[in-house]
Amino acid sequence: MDNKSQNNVAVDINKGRSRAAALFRKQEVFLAIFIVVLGAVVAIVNPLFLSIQNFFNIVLAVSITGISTIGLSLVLISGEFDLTLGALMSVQAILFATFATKIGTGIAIVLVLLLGIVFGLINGLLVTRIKAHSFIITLALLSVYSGIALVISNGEWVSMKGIFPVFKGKLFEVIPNPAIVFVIVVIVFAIVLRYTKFGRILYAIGGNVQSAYLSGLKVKNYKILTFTLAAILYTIAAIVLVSMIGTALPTSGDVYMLEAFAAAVVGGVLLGGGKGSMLGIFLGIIVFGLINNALVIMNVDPFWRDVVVGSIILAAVAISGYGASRK
Amino acid sequence: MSNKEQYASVANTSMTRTSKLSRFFNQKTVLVLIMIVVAIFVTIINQNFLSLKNLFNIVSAVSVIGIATIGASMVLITGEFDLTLGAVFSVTAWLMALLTPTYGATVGISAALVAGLVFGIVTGLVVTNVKANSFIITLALGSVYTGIGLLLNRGAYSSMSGFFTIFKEKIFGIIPYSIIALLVVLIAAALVFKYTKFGRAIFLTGSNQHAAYLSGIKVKFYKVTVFAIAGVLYGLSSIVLVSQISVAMNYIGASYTLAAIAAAVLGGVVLGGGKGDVLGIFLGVLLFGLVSNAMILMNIKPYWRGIVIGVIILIALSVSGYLESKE
Amino acid sequence: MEIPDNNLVLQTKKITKNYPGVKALDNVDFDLYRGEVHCLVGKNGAGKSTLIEILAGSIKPDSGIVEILGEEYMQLNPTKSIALGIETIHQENFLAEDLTVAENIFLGNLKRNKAGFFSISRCIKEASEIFASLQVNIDPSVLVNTLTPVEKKVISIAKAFSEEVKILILDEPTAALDEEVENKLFKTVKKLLAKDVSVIYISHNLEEIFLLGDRVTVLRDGRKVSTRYVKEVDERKLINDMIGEEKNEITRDKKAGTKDGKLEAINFSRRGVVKDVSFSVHRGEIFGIGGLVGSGRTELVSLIFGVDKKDNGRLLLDGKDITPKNPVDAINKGIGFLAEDRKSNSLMLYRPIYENISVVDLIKRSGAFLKLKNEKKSVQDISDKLNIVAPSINQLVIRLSGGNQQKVVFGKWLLANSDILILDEPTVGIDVGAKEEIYFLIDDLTKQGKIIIMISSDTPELAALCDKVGIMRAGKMVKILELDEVTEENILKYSIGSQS
Repeated sequence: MDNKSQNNVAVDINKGRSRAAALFRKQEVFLAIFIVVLGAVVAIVNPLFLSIQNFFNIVLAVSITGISTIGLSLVLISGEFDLTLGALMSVQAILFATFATKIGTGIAIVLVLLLGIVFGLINGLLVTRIKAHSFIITLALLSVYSGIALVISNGEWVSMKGIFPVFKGKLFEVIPNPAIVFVIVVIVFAIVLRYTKFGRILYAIGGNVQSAYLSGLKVKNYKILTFTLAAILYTIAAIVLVSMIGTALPTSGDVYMLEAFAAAVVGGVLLGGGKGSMLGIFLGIIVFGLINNALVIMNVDPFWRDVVVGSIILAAVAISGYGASRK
Repeated sequence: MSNKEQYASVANTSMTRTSKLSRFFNQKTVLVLIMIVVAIFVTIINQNFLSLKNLFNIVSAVSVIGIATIGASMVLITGEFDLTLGAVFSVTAWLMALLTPTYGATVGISAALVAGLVFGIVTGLVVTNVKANSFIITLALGSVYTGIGLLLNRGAYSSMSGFFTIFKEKIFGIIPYSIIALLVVLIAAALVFKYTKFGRAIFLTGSNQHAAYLSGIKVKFYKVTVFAIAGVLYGLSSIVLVSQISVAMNYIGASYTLAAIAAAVLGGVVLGGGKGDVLGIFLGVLLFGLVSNAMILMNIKPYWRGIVIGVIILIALSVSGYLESKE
Repeated sequence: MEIPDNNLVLQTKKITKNYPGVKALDNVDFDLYRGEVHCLVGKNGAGKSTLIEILAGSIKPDSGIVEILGEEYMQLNPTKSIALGIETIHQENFLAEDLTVAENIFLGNLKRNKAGFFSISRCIKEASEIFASLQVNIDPSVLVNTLTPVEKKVISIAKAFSEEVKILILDEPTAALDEEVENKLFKTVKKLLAKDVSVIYISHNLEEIFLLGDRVTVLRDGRKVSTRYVKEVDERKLINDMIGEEKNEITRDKKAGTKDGKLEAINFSRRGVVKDVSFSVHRGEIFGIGGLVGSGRTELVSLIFGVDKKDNGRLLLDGKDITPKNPVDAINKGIGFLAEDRKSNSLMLYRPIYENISVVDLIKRSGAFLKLKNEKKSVQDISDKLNIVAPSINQLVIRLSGGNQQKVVFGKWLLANSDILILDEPTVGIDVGAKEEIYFLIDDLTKQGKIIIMISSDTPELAALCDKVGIMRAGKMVKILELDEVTEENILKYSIGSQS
């Protein structure tokens, strides 16, 4: 044998591995199958599941969580944590409702988006400047933002009664507006992640930050940008949320954080960074939307909810982890 | 000169000047300074802060979260997350509420400890055998445990006044038993960290798991054991709390867990694993307790408290991060 | 930017860098002229990598000036350095494992298509062109995590050619490579020189210095000792400058150590990786494992030590079956494993020396409590015996030089009193002085009757030390050379598989 083909033994084994690498799609296949199976089971138990009204319920719930989850996923892919999701949504909900009732919806949206940028910049700057893990930094910020929400609202809810409900309508009388916003966000960021330089760089930074830095990339700036984009998305989600239910509580957004993490991880985003596709994230979001809806439709004892959701997360993560590497 | 002498002489010249200063201004000193500053502030506004009664109040409150934080810290030191803290804490409380009225305090307390142990072992086994980040695994498990707890008490409050208030009582009428409990746990932990094979093994595992494995450390065994001990400690802290306030509260959950992790990180526990010490952890927890108490005494409006804590954490992190980078 | 008339492309003036307890660089002057290869040599810890990192922009000097193409800079960062035409090939591969080869090559400068969107096909196309000119045989569209370590190194090197390079810095580029790839690298460097690119070349391999270099600078303890023309210097002089004292060549008396007692490895296999490997080693012998990178050497010993699951394989010591089921089992049976890549596999970098050295012994002992005084004394003894250079055994391992880190790993297995030692590339990334100390150590161990199995890509080392050498090729042990047959020539011959 000449020396080329000898070394190729190792290479052949590796080529087999690169075909296996395409199996990261396996996560998405699994999720798709799970969605179909779950849908079928629920439909059998309660045919109302397939009603148009229910479909809209799912779509609405999914839209709000989904927009936030995509924002969080950007940060996760870049290799950082963002625990401010829930608190930021709460603050922005309160601010939006307050501004909308006092100044008008249009200006409220603009103001709140600007503030979203400010919050995102604060997050990004602190995470990149303070030499501590983003987990603890965003945790501290969570506390601050929650406090701001409480202070501004004085612990009370803010009502949007009588204000033009921007996202409550339906386009062409059929598709709920929030869904349209969600779909736009999905498409935009699917393109960003896959086809833009920024997207590639996010994966690079999350994959090996040293490599990115030594290749001349301004890692800090990209991270700040990522946190800012995430904050903008949380803001949009908050706006949609408030428009939908008409009131804002200083804790409105809190419940979305854990679900966003769960949806992202189930969707294939690695907590260590560097991995995750929009398709997977989208499916992960749908999975949770379905589960939540299924639990209600099937009249499952509310006290079983946590057990079910937790078990499903474990199952999903165990199956996709099988054969893969940790973290 | 031999190599060693050469090295030593170089080391002596440049080391003496810088390190004495930086050894003084380390993370723990920062925590102590912040506490002193806060203490001064409070005392100016409300002299009661320095009263013996109040100081004992602080330490009593601290003992609850302190015991739990030691458990969480051990897990962090081995390089894993444990987000089941809040859940185990709540569930053991409800378990006590369920059993004590009928079977007495001893059974109730034992049940809490056993439950903590069982939860811990289960968590440990799942984390070591499922190839995924312990953040998401313990997040999901926490959800499952909470669900189990909710099923137990159906969301109701239960009053247990009079059943066991042992930790409310004082030895010699002065020092509350809760403080004794905390001290015992702290001293035990410190001894284990420094003087036992087990302690050494968990630090090495957290520092480099693969190298530890190749050096003969039974990584899986130590991890499961650490989670188990943590579970017992969470149960213990729940016992201490319940006996102080005599009511098994509803849902504490995520915020409690995150607060414990924050205290640990402030105290010098590194989220990647392999570093941390009991004194630091105690100071971190004490800082939280002291600031909480101070805010009450200074009549800071409840809604502002989250902001204050968040800002203080950020300041503490910035300062110690800055000092570390000077080294 | 124009190259000034005197052809001086780069210059450092009085560069100093301090770390706590160590002066990494002490007023170092260095210069580089157009079209030359200026080699940088020195022991580990001499400051070579530090100087390089300052030029690459990843660390900042405490004082001193860097002058590039006539302009002075107090500080650089990677972006600036690359913009100035400085491309650095680091010792470690800094690659994003989950991206494709092409994306890694162009990481700092990802290619776009006409619409402005990121175009992976353009990256692949341009990467192919670079590979063609470098004679690299790797598919740019595969993910980096599917490549072998050699291929990853090749990619790291190719990456430096993705931009217009004016100054090429190579930090130990050949450490992980085999001959074929090495030769291609040298050819490429020579081509660049013809284009007036200037090269800074760090290597422990003095042969390469004499092959490629125009000038050579020796650093020692952070100071520049000498800068000379390569043709005016010889190996002895360089080594003297590096170490500061005369050292003798090591020769090993191979027949002297062999004692009774035999270790037999029988039929070790793992599908696709290792095929039916058997060999035996007597007490006091060193059994070398040679072969090209990727031939299955590390895989084989990983099976023996019980790290990876094997399909087949038994290990017998004096007829008794001691086949390890896992590392814990192996250690209890007296086997030790000095793994490749010590930073990832053998050391807890942020723990002190004594914890690293005592770990195996400590875990083996029964008893829940540590005996710190005894522990530290035993560790101190070992540390003295191995001549580990550090302020104290409380020093964190990460602060040690490569050679001393490796000594810590040796110390670990010495303290554990391992009977059988598997060494995987024990002297990689270690300077000449420490290498010789390690050779003496290994020889000493054989005199004590221990059994040594040693993997090395350094053929002269293998030939000089080993009693027998088993050559791996494509997962099989194709030949076992014994005593007089153990020559560099034979090792190479069987590694490559030439017919002559």
